[in-house]
Amino acid sequence: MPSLGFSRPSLGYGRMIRLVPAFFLLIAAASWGGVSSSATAASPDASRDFVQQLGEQTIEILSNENFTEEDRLIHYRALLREGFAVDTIGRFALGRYWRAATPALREEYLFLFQEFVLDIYSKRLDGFSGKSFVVTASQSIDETDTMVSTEINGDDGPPIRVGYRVREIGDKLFVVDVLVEGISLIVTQRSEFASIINRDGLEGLIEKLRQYTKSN
Amino acid sequence: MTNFFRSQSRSFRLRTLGPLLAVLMTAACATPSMDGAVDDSVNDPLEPMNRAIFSFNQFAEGLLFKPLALLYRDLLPPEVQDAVGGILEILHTPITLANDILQGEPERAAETLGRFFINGTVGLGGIFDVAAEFGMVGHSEDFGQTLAVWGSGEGMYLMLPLLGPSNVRDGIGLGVDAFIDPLTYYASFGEQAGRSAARGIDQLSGVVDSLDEIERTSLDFYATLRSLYRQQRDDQIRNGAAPPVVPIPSISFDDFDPSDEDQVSQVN
Repeated sequence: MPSLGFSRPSLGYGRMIRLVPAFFLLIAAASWGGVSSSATAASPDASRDFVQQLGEQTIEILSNENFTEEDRLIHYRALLREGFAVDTIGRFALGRYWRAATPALREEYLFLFQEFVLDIYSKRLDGFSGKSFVVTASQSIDETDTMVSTEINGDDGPPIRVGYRVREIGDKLFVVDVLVEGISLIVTQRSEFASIINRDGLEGLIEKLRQYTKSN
Repeated sequence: MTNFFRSQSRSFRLRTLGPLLAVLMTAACATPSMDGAVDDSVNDPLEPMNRAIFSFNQFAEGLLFKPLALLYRDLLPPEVQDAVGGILEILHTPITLANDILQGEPERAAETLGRFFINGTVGLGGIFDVAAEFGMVGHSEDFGQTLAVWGSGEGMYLMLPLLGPSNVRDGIGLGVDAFIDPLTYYASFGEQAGRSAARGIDQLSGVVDSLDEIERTSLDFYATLRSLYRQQRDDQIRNGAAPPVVPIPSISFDDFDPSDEDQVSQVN
């Protein structure tokens, strides 16, 4: 085996032979680094495509004239379940109270939160009816997340700015937050939940979620 | 989403504003600065009183303002509504312009001035938005935003009767804007009240559906609106620039997550 490295400078074919294994090692290291970094950071290009696709699917559902409102809501739910990191969002929405909750309570909370959030997001999504959208930018905002900025163009008035914060979780892209005109969906959710917990405790919040999911 | 309830009524006269300002100033000094950071602290020590005022506002809104806003939205042709919005913008120009300047934004001030002259003349007093054809898009500024640009915190959250969500900083801003506004000195009380009502109805008509939807999908409508108001004001203060990135921890059932560390204190 030829030795690796550059310690013995020599010219010609012999040196090249020695360099070949080093070269492959470098390639392997680079691609390994590439793989591990793409597992933690959502790439701007992939995120852009992902959001573009989500948007197109939404408009497809919206503009399907055979759908009743109920049909639309069912399709949105499926889309949201597929594209949104609902558990991550639920954990964030509980803020500091997450850590203090018992595993059993967390599990019940996450189950109810998923039902709740799929219901409200699909209803709010339905409000954007009949509009087109364009992706205006896509850039990483921290070690893991990419913000995909879009504009929804309505019939009148200036376009609405909607940003999708995308994260890669287990090789798949998910939306972890939506910002409408700079207003974060999950910050709003966390603030609402904190207010309820402050007044009625975590049990109170879970009870409210239970009631909501039962009646909707 | 545009301003929630921010009808910015000038029906407060300066006589009543004096003492009110004094009280608010004191409160502002006593309140720790919160500097625009959005967190889950609700910044609402007067919550019981604010909730009571909110109930009253909702009652008044349901009884009077919402029906008017719906009539305005559904019966008047869109062109008429645009014209009303344009006229109201012309009337708001002195306030926006003064605050553009106070915030050190010459380009935005020039845009405000340009829109005023183009729409005020060729646009027949704001009825037609001719300036938009030249790529001049309107914006609104107020002294609450100027105070924020100058480094003031928001102060405690306040629910104002009829005017809706506010805070100490924006409450002071309303007062100062009234001082800036020439209409305060030249228009009759009735004219000012009419302008304020029109502005309130015009703004409410644009968000009434969204508000209803948010109310239906909220577990605590008051708390949701409070958060929306604070974030919306922060967005206006940043003039639409990207908000600070909120750390979102990944889901984990393990107990230790450093991003929680500073937030853990008590659980009620």
